Amino acid sequence: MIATSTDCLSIEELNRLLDGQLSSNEFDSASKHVDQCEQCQSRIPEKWDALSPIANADSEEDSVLAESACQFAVAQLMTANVPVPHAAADLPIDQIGPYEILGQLGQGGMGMVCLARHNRLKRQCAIKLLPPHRVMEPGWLDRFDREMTTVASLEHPGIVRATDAGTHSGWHYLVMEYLDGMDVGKIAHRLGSLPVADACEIARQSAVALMHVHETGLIHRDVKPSNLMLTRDGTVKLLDLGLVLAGDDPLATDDRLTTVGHLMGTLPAMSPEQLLDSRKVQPASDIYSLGATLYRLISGRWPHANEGGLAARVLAITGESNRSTPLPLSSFQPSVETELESFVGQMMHRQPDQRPSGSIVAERLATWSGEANLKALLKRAESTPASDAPITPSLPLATNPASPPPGNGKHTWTAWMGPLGWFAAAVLLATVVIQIKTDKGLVTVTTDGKDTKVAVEEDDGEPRSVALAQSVAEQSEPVVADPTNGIVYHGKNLDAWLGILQNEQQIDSVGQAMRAAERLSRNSPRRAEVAKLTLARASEHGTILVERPPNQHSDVFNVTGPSDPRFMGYLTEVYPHFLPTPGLEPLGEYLAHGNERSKSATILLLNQYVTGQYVSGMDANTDYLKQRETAPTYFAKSAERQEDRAKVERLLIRLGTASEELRKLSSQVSDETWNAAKEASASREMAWATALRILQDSGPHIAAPDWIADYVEEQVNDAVAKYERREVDPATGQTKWDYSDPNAVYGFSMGGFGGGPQAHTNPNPPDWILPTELYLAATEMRREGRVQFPIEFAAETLAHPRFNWYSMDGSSFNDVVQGLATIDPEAPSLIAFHLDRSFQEMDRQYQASQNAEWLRPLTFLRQRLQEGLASVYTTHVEQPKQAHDRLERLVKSLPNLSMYQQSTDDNKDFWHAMLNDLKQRSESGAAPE
Amino acid sequence: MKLDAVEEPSTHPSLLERARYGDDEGWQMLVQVYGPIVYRWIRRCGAQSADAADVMQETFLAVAKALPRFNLDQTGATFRGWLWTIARNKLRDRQRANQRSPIVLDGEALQWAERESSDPPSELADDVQSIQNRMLQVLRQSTDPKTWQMFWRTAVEGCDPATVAGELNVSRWTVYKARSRVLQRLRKELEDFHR
Repeated sequence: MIATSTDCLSIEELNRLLDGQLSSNEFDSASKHVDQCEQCQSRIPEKWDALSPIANADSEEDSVLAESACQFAVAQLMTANVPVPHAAADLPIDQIGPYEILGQLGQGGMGMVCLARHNRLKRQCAIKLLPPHRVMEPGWLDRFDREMTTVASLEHPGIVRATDAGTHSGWHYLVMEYLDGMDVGKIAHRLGSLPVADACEIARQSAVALMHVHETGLIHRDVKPSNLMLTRDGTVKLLDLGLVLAGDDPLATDDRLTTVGHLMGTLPAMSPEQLLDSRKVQPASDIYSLGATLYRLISGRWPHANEGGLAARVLAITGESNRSTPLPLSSFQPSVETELESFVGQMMHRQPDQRPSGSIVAERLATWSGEANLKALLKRAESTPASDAPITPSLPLATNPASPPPGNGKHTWTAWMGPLGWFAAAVLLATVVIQIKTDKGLVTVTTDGKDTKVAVEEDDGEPRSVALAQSVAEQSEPVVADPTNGIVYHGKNLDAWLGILQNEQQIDSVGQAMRAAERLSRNSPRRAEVAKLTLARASEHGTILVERPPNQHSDVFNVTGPSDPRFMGYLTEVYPHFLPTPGLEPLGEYLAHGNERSKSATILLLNQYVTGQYVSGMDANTDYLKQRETAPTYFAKSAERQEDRAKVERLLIRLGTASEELRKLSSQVSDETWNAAKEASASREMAWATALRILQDSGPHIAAPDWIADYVEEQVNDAVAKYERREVDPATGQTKWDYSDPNAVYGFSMGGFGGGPQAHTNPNPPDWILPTELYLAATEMRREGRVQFPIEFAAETLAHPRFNWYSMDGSSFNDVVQGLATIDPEAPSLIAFHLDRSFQEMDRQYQASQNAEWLRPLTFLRQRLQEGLASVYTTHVEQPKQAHDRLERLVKSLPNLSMYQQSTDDNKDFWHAMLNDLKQRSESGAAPE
Repeated sequence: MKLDAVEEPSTHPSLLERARYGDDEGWQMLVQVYGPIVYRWIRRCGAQSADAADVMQETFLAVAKALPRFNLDQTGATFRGWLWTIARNKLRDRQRANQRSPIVLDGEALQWAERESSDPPSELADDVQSIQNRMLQVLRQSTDPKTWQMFWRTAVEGCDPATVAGELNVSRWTVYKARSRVLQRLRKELEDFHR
């Protein structure tokens, strides 16, 4: 027990208090006591040996954590607008203007609706809140303001009344009358279907309200059950007038479809003309939606709900075929009169001019609504618990579009909603794309906030829509193309996108234009032009740093990272689609004539093509990319024909030109962080490796241009010069190993723990270490007498823990060692000597510190040892006995290494064999060979 | 008795709690503290840095979505284990998506993600140490500078509380209290991670 504030603490309690071991509450009460108790304070020791072990926090921070990719990714995540769903609906504020916020009524697509009370008038009201961060995003405020003015201008008992509006510390708010009741969406969700008379009465009252809207020259555009409110006195009121627009507004924009969730909730009630082109929306569109709503209320399901998935429904709504006529209402509800059935069909007529007007609807529906009792209906709904599963599994009523629907994962539609992502649904970005692969082609539903489009392409599909394909494939209805607008993507045609591509400053818009232009130009004669324009912007933003852009269909979150890597993210995603034809030609031109940024970007693109690597992982698997020619096929084929050979040769020359022109910039490399010089240097290395790869793919018909060998020579000379300037330990005459803190550069080091600098147990990679490919090329060229380097340099590189060795095609470590031995027979002994130095160093540091992290370099060396260095070492090391004992100590201690894997027997056998060889040599007393 | 240090409530919600309730700053700290650990796990599974960065981000996007459902009080659940489960799944997704297998870093790198290991490829003590280091940075930002100084001098630099009390002209209890307060917060955060 912990003392209350009146009791003194026992010595044990006091110790736990002082060591921070109490829970928060215990801490509070105990410390409050000690604050006032001189006796307890006097018992606090002068000196306390049991100080917490935090003082030992000097262990090494892994250099992995200092990698820029890690830092960058963390920074990105921190600044990303990642919506963490609230575990509890906390109200963001409790007072806005003169209103006291009492609780949350609902969460809409736009913002939150709260119950509030006027401070003075004590009148209850509903407040719609637009959070400050929404105000900054385009479209939101407009829509909010529009709702404000519209609601204010519409005075009608069937339309929710606005009483006030304003802003308060960044929040925009709209005050409306508080309606006690339930929205019809919820009622329908709870009850399934409604009695015919009740459904007709709800639709009748709505039609009366719509008449008023239409008479004022406006269109509601979003009539659906969840936008109808049934109040306690049995009145139906139209809600959500944020979309209401004047019918003759030439700029009529449909910004409703801003979230996938909202689209899901709205789509089944949408008229064909609205689906195909939102600019064609008219009062009759509201009538269609009302008819669909009525159909839903009576039958318990949406028209066309039998068509399968959402895409199929889109096709059905917009389709001309008779097969897409909804099932007759009487098949669900036998009591429905034939006349009503055909009238509802009339309201949903495909031709807007064939639908009845609002006044006729109101008049006719009155025939069937005589026995309605809406007050009783509301009571019944209120006493029916909300079911967990949607009543129509294939399409929920999205009364709450921003949150996952109930019954998650149980239904087929959630299975494909999953990949699309509720995450995306919760984020506003004025693009919604639903793509469905059918056996006839790709159906795309898009909106850019202005237009909604359904387009059909005879092209590839996206992998994420595969699940959908199944539900659609079941129905063999002909696919309907957009009849009026030709080929559009996100509502714009190719020329419009190219304009954006060339002139836009905002990176994501440029990226979107790249994507759009690429898609629209497939199989078009303008493809080469599009490829060139796509590449052109690299002169401003080209770099070899690539940040993955937001996914095409989901995962859209606002990242505020550096713009150039983001540009490259789009470019490396889109440009591979142009390769090899027609994209290779512009690549070559920019290699030769572009500026430094263009050169870096094109080298990267070419490198990714020849290595078969794409940065944006998911999109790499599209059928379109799979169909195109891979680099090995393309270059092998090109090598067979004279004229194609010339093209490849020219490309190789141009790579050399680019590399040469980057040389000056790269020579300004300093030791600081990433900069243009380092980038140029890395680009040159990539250009060289790319050229080698092309040569390899092309076969013997194409000769290597001179610059390839020149580059190796230059790099080797540079490395050797650095090697000769390296710091040497005066005691041993050997290279001094650098253990300084590489993290310090990133400002991420936690230095200072334990009073001393942190121990870094891996020697840092010296500046004279060559990359593997260059090293291999250099040894080849040395054998041919083309380059010179001291054999010590080669041997020490090979044995250095930080030499980044990996097996290349057709090269083995043994070959390399053999090669060096033919250059200089001393090479194996030198390699053994330097390995021995590493082992001694590890042993010494480990013995001194008992910190097993010092053994890590052994794991770096293991692969090389296994591939041949082990026998070089065991055969050539000078003192096999000591070498054996030392290595044995090291290997035995290896399991103390953090991250040490419970190694396979293979591993143990390897070390065992190596030790055995050393033992045999020491016992035979043989001198080194 | 007069208190020398600024009072602040000791019942701070932990990072995890803050992030769970949609607190932006809590989320940022969470990423800052735990992100590098996940990155390191993925790297140790043999992934390249660019892939590791992607997988780490994907992991945290999933964490953001699932955080409200993650129940710390559930027996046997640790944040570390949970984080690893998500990271491993994301890595697998990635490996399936990339037809090329990730380039192996060095000889010790194993395809951890393909193993049914419920533990990340790291020593718990290592992770805790790493998190502690970054957690201290985060805590420092939200701690009164004087309190922090008393904590740092005694708990990290190992000075005698009495000496520090003398230097700062406060009572020994004040020093102990400051030290204990920060330690208590640190412990709570670390318990969230692995207890």
